[in-house]
Amino acid sequence: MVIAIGFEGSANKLGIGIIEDDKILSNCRRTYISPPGEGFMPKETALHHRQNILAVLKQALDESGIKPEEIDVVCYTKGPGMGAPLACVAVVARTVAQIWNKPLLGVNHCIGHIEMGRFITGADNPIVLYVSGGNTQIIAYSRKKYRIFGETIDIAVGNCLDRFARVLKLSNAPSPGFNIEQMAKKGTKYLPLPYCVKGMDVSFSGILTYMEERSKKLIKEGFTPEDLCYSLQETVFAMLVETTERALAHVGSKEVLIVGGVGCNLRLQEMMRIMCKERGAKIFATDERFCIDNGLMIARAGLEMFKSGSRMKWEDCGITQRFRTDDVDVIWRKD
Amino acid sequence: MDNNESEDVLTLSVEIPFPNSRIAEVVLNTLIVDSEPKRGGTIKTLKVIDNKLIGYFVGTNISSVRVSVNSFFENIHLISETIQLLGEPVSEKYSHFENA
Repeated sequence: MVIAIGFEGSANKLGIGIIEDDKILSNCRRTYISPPGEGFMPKETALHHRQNILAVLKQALDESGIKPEEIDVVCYTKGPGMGAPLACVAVVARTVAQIWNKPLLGVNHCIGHIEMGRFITGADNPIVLYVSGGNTQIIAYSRKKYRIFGETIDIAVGNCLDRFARVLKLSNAPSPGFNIEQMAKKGTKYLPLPYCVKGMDVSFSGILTYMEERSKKLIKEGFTPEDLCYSLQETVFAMLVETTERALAHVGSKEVLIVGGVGCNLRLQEMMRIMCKERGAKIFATDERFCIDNGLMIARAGLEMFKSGSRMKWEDCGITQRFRTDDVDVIWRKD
Repeated sequence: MDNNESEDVLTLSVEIPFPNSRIAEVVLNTLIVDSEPKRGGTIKTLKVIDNKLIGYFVGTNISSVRVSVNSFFENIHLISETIQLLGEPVSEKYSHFENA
């Protein structure tokens, strides 16, 4: 029996979760929400995390019903992510580990998403589509690494959607992507947009610029904001489904797992489901509690690492803004 | 002073007392891991004497020294609050420094 606590704060979500082997004990989260038309900046986001982290920690401990001495390992997000928010969460994790005299483990944020997705859905060896505000990767496991088959060559798909939400001055609560999704449901008129798949890689910055430059004019010409949300979603999701399908065919896998914040978009799940059905594959996805950044995913990945003997020296417990998914040795998988 | 051309070296020494030397050590161990931003050129040295944490900042760019010192204080505040919430360290020494 191993109990792990996980601290996450690589972007605007601050989360702390506690897990006991396969049993979720708590998963608490607070989100820094910037005003409409604005994104979240490192300084303000770090301030939010500093002001809220102890309340979230107390809540996570209370809900879990366990005592600190029962915890076996303290896990935190080492990277990738925004420097200032990562750093302040790591400061608390390091303090907590010392107060409780428990080992500390730095976890790769992307690995957190993948292991959380596998844990919640039971997917065994899936092609992983990791889509969020900061990352867009198509990943498959091979020989102790999660290998990146394709990824964005510029901005993440979630970043593209979030920034288009800013153009329309949509609210950032609960998240800009959620509001785009709701608007898109009411869209009827499809606007053809640039489609940027380059081999296994995708590109979204050109599409965003196209939308930013033309939105005003298009709305005057009779497109509604709903139509634009709909067209943007259909285009970028089609790109993701295409590259995922190619990875699926190449690897010969029969499972697709969608993780990351954009992964709770039901339209993306629906499009992926259609593709999977045609190929006789199965789709796995989770809801916002587990696919949007959370502390539990860091606890889960840390738990797997800890159980398989992974330990960290104190001088390595810093943070790093860049940390590739395929830098991590996946020692806990036996296949 | 607030430009990069100035070659004058600016130093700042800060002494912060804690309730006991164990807590001062916890604060030191927490802070010592993070390196200063390379571009600023500020060098931060930390040590503990008895129950005091001593921070020594050296730099040529006043605004980069200010950033370092600000974040130093913000972190100490956060660590102190964390200790207030969870209580004193349960052990005399941290036993997982050399785990790997």
